[in-house]
Amino acid sequence: MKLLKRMTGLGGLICATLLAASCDLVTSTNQSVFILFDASGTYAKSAPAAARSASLLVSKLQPGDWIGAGQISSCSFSEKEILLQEQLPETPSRADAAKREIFGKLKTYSEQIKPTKFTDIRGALAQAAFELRQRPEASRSIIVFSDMIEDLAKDCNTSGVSLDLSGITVVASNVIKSSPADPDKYFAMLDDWEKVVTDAGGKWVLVASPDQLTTLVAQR
Amino acid sequence: MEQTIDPMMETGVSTTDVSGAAGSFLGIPYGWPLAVAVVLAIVVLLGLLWALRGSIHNMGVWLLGRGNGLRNTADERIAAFRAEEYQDRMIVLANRVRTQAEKLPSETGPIIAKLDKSATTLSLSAEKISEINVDELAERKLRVALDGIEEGRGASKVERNTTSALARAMKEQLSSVRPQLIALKAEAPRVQQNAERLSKVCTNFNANADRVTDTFRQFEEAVSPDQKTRLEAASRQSILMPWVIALFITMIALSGVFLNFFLIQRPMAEIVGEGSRIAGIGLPTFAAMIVIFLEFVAGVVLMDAAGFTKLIPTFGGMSDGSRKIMFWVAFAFLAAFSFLEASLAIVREQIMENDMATSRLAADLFLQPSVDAAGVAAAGADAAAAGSAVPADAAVETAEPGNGVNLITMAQIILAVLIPWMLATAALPLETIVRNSVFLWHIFWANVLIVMGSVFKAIGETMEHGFRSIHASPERDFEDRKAARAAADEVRREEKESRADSRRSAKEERKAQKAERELEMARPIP
Repeated sequence: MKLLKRMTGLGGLICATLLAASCDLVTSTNQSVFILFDASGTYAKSAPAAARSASLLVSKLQPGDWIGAGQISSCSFSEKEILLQEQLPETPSRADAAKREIFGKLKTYSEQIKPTKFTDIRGALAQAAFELRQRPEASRSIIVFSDMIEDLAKDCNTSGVSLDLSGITVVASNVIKSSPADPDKYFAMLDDWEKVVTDAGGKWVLVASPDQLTTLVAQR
Repeated sequence: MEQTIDPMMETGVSTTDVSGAAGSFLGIPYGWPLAVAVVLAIVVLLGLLWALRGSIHNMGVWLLGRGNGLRNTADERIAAFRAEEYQDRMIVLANRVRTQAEKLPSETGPIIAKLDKSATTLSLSAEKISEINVDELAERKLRVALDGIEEGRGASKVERNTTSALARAMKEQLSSVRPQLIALKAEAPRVQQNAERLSKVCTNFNANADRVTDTFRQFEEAVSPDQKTRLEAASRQSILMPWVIALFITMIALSGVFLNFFLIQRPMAEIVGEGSRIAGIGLPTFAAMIVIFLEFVAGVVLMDAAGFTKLIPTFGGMSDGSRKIMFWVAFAFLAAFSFLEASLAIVREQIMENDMATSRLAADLFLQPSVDAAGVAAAGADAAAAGSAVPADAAVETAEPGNGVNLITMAQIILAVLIPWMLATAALPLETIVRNSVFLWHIFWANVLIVMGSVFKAIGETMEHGFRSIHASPERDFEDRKAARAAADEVRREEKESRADSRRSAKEERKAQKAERELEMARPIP
């Protein structure tokens, strides 16, 4: 009888603990990442290096993570600019196979890239943010491989577009210096973009090397 | 020109704040204010103690009673456990003696037969030897020799003739009994050897019988109606040492669990997938923990079913057939877990190779000549099919340390196969840990209560004596003594009740044990 009472007490304690923990009992660790490649004339030659960095980043993604890729073109807010959208399988071996396929796609893209006349970065960010908002993953990132110099076409002026980057981390990677004689301009441009991102509710991160990028993704 | 700087000005603290800067305790600055505060606190504390002296004393008495009661209960439980232990040992020894007794005819029969045969041989030989009549033989030969003297031969010749006749006669007689003498020589050591074997059998039997007697005596002491004898029997063996040893062994087993956990945690992702967390723990990690727990449970069931432990009470009431079934079921589960872990060890190696190959491919792909998407995927697939999961050139690089990798995988497989069985053995010390922890916990709390009770009682009594020395009056003294006597009576009554409770519970436990023992004895021995 005593044993029964003790067992009942223990059972009650376990039930209470489980009930208390049930709210957050099952959570997801997956993340969604959207990669943007600048296809403008000033950056197109850096596309292979960007694709390599992106491949390294993809190799560090976990099974179950979501990966998307698009390009920054003259008018980026379009389905046509999306290169790939794929969720990695849950098991490591299948995820590895899927990653290899993505490497191939990125390599093909970097070799066949067609430079564009203008650079619509805001439109690309809006496109990426829109895609990421559809995802259930809690951790969302946009990785931008670009010189971050915006050059908008007259027929596609997105400078006044309202961006919603809440809950999204925008990582600017491989930002090449287009005017080496004027570092101040470079830093001012980065500051401007940081303001744009943070004003839109996002988090701004500048990454100097591919190693930092993979570390950043692996930590999330 | 050298400029002097006032240290106080430099630090921004004026000289008047020095005492404050020296420190404070609970906001009271060091020095005489703190001394006054300490004295006041002591006075207040003493006042409180004096005001509550009666309650403190009563609480001390109550705690002492509870502590003693708890200690008695713990001792009784230890005695009951010892009785159970002795009973088990007695059953084992009795079985051994019974088996030995059953074997005795087969062991001693041939020895006795040999001894019998030796005795017959010895008897026959002795009879044959006893039949020799040397006097008659000598006389006969002498007469024959004397017949020769009558024929006129010399005395010396007669003497020689007689001697040689006697020697010949003796030789003939000895040659006739030689086989008996040889038999005597051969049988003597054989008899000695057989006697020694018999003595050894007897010694063994006696030793086991003595052990049974000793255990029975100890068992009787553990279930003795006399409390003192019972408690002596309970305290004869240490509770702490087996607990420490069992804990040490379990710690070693737990380190094996950790090792096992790291072996199977990663490959479990191939079975349950990645990306989810359960209560903050990654799904593969959670699954690996569950597998380890299941292995441990299978081990506990195996050890209980085999009769090595008594952790699961249900097994005590099971028939031998049911226990055998449970044993083989647990054995099959452990074997299956062993196989699962071996498979996971192989998968783990493959996952690691795959990950390495993918990372290398990501880095090297853009340094190679142009390959289309299908080509990259095909290279990866080919390499994966080849077992290394490394495409093209990378496959060559990873193939080089192939033998080393194979050896590591083999080592992992061996470890993975062994660990579930090692975990099963961890159930053996677990029983000692659980049981002795309960005993130690009771003893610890009993001692805590006893110490607290003694301290409270002493404080109450000290306060009371101090009060009496200040306000000494015969009437008050008489009333106090009366109250003290009443309190002492109350304590004695409570202790008596506690002892009676303990005795009653011990009696009930003994009764239950007796019933269980009878049941155990009635059960046929497998």
